[in-house]
Amino acid sequence: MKIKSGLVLRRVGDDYIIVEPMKGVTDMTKVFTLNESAAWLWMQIENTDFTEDFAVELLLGRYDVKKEKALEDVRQLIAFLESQELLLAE
Amino acid sequence: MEQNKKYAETHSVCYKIAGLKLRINSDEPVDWDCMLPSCAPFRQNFYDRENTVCEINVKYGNSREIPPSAKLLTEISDLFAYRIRVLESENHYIIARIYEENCHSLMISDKNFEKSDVYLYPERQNYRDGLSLFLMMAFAQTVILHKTVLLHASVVVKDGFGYAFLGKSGTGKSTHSSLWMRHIEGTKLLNDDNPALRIGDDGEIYICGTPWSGKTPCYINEWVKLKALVRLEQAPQNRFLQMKGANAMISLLPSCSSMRWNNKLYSTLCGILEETIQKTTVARLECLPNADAACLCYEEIQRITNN
Repeated sequence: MKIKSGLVLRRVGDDYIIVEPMKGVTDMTKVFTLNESAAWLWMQIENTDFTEDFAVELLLGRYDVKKEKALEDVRQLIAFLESQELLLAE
Repeated sequence: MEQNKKYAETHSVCYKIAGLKLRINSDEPVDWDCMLPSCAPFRQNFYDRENTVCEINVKYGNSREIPPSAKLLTEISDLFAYRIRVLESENHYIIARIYEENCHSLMISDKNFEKSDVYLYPERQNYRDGLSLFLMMAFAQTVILHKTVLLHASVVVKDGFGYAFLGKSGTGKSTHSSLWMRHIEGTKLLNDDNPALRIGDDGEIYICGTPWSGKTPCYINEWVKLKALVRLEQAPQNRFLQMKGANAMISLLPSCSSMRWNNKLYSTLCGILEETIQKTTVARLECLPNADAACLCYEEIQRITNN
């Protein structure tokens, strides 16, 4: 899967955010916040075509966590990205 | 020679707003200070026109239809109850000022708004009112590429520093500015509707007067360092909250003039805000329209910035 193009992860103060302007007629902008590990993972997978396993491996290489926990976190992040339509439709 | 100069000056004019040059060319002679009175304080020597960031060609009477393939992006209303339609075609943005389904004036701009053609229809009523709005809309977009953002805000100056009040229409931005002027000695108005925020070459954040100030005729060609950006919200009591990180971003974004359909401009805008948040104070003020609100706001900002 791939993250939609044009989305930029930004650091404002202590927060990691992604700003997504809505292209519809109403003037709306969504601002998402990510925690530090989610932001780190985002930086590794943006502009790549990644799988769940690949993301888990990345987390395991960077953080001292159990595989089950890493998988849970990755699934949670992917579910979030999907629900907010931040992933490219297959 | 004198004749040529005269011709040039009636057919072309240059304004410098927030340090950025805007040039307008007209295919008919124009008395610029009469046509665009609020721009007069920003007028530049005609021959000083290097590095123009925004160029606008005004044409009269040539009817120009909206290309049928253009896609409608949004429709808003302006100060004079005209409808402003924003459309996009393959290579242009099109902004049409409409009254009772008649197009009274039209602007066709490239995707960065660096060059625009404005069509005014003199047979239509109040056709001139559209020009100032078109200038503002084009300028607001293209200056983003020069570290500058037009804000929807009311700005006061106190002791050489600017304080910008943001908020939805009808929140009381102008009222809050008036309260500062009445109750905080030495406060004056810089702009009441559309100041420009600019990151200077020295990296400091400045706030600048512009020719656009809503219903208040306050067109001051001045820059000051920005001390704080305060988002106002009506409330039953006065409360001041400093905003950081994502909350600061959320406080600023709705008050920025931006084409959210243009990824390049929008992303550049977010970058400017990111830098602004690092360098200046952002806050939210829940407030009543009273003297206490103004004094609380002023004192809290001094307390934060003196630390």
